[in-house]
This record gives sequence, C-alpha cells and structure tokens, in this order.
Amino acid sequence: MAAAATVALALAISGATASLTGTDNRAVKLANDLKPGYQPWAQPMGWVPSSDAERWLFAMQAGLGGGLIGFAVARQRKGKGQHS
Amino acid sequence: MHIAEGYLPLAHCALWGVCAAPFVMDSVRQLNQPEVRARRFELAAAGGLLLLLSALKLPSVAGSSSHPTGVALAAIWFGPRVVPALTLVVLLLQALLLAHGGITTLGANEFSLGVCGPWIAWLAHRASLRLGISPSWACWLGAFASSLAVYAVASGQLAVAYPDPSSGVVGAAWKFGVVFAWTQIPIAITESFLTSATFRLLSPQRNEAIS
Repeated sequence: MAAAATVALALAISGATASLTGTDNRAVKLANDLKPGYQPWAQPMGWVPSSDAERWLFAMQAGLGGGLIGFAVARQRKGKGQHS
Repeated sequence: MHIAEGYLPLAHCALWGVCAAPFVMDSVRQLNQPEVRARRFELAAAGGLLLLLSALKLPSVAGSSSHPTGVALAAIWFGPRVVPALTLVVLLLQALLLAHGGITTLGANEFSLGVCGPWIAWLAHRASLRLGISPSWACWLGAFASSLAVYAVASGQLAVAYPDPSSGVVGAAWKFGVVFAWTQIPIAITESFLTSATFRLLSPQRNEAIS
C-alpha cells in the first residue's frame, strides 16, 4: 500500500514538474557556456527512455523505496508487539 | 546530482573512479558485518528512503527542479562507511535505465553522493547531538548539510573540468554553485523534513539502541 501511494504521489509530482528545468540540465548548459562547442565524448550507454517512460520508471523507483519503508515500519511494529 | 554522461574528461573520470572505489569496497565489507545484518529492516528503510528521495524530482524556486540526495538516514543510522554500495546501485540504475548521470561519470557522482554526502551527514548529525539538539532535529540538520554538500562537491568537480576563462576554477565553482544553490536549498529543506519524519517513524527502537 505504501508502494502504491508513493508511485501515485511521485507521478503527480513529476506531472507538475514536467515543464521545469532540472539542475542537471542547467549544469550541462553552464558547462557548454564555459567551453563553447564542447561535445560530450560519451553518450548514455543504457536504455534512454521517453519522457513518459522516464516518469514511470522514476515513480516505480520511488514506489520501491516507499514500499521498503512501509515494510520496515510494519516489521518493527509487529516485532514490538511480540516482545511486549 | 548527476554529472551527465561524457561531460567530464577521461582523466577526471578515472581519477574520481579511483577515489571512490576503495569506499565502495569498504562499504560492501561493512554491509556484511553481523551488527549491520542484524538491523536489516532499518537498513531496508534507510535504503528505501534513498531510492524514494533520489527518484523524486521536486519543484523549486524560479521554474527549476532537482533531485534530493537521500543519503543522510543511512549514514546517521549505520555510519557513512556503509553507504557507498547503496548509492552505487542507485547511480547504476539511473545511468543505465534512465539516462541520468552516466557510466563515465559514475566515479565522480559516486564520490559526491556516496562518500562526501554521507560523511557530512554523519558529522553534522554528531555535532548537532553534541550541541544538545534533539535527535530528530540533529537528523534534519544532517540531511540538510549532506544535501548541500553533494551539490557543492559536484560544483567543484565540474569547475575543475570547466574552469572559467577569466576567473579560473574558483570562479567556475562559484558559478556552478550559484546555479545549484537556488534550486537546492529549498529541496534540501524538503528532503530534511522527509528524512527526519522517516527517522521518527522508526525511532522507538533506535532510542533504545542509542541509550
């Protein structure tokens, strides 16, 4: 449940931020300003997702994280119940 | 923060890789320690927060957005030496599946996110506790310091590769730092509240362990 909630939240946030410029891209832009004509000597080596796929993958990564936190909280509560 | 694929000269990539590698190897050893394994559910939560935060692209001031770093909780709970292997997994995942960061810049990104961030988080947290700050605010300050530290180190790494024609490396570091700072300070504040909330969520057990 925590995982599903996190995926939904992450998708909502990524929808809201789609039009904003990420700092990673700003850094690339400044690097290009400081060295005009610089060509990156390597290209992304893995899979390059479309912007929609990127949103879903990031949301799934966040969901996995949220799920792990939920799992740990649930385990801890259960463990405490047994001890007391 | 991800320095994009191909944006650091080969020599820099190699150097940062050599700097980061021993920390990663040490981290794998740390993760296999019995005392870390015994707390695997907390490790799952700390790793979960890292995955969650590093995947969020949060809006910030002036039409910009950025990623939190998410390394503080693991560093505060387990010590900074445990963290590099966790961040390496995240960085590889994002380099290969999301075209964020890169394989050539993996060493540099790992050094800022996996080594510098966690150490600063741990030091800031320890210093805050010494000053008598409450555990959850000490956690907040650790997260805040580490989030900014990761971006400060990344600014330095970029500045060494892209010195300003007139003001040199220092001038370029300032320029990259300014680009990041406006976006990252509000993000660091958000990240710190999320980290401290997770810390409190799982803290009953921790308080026993600390005392």
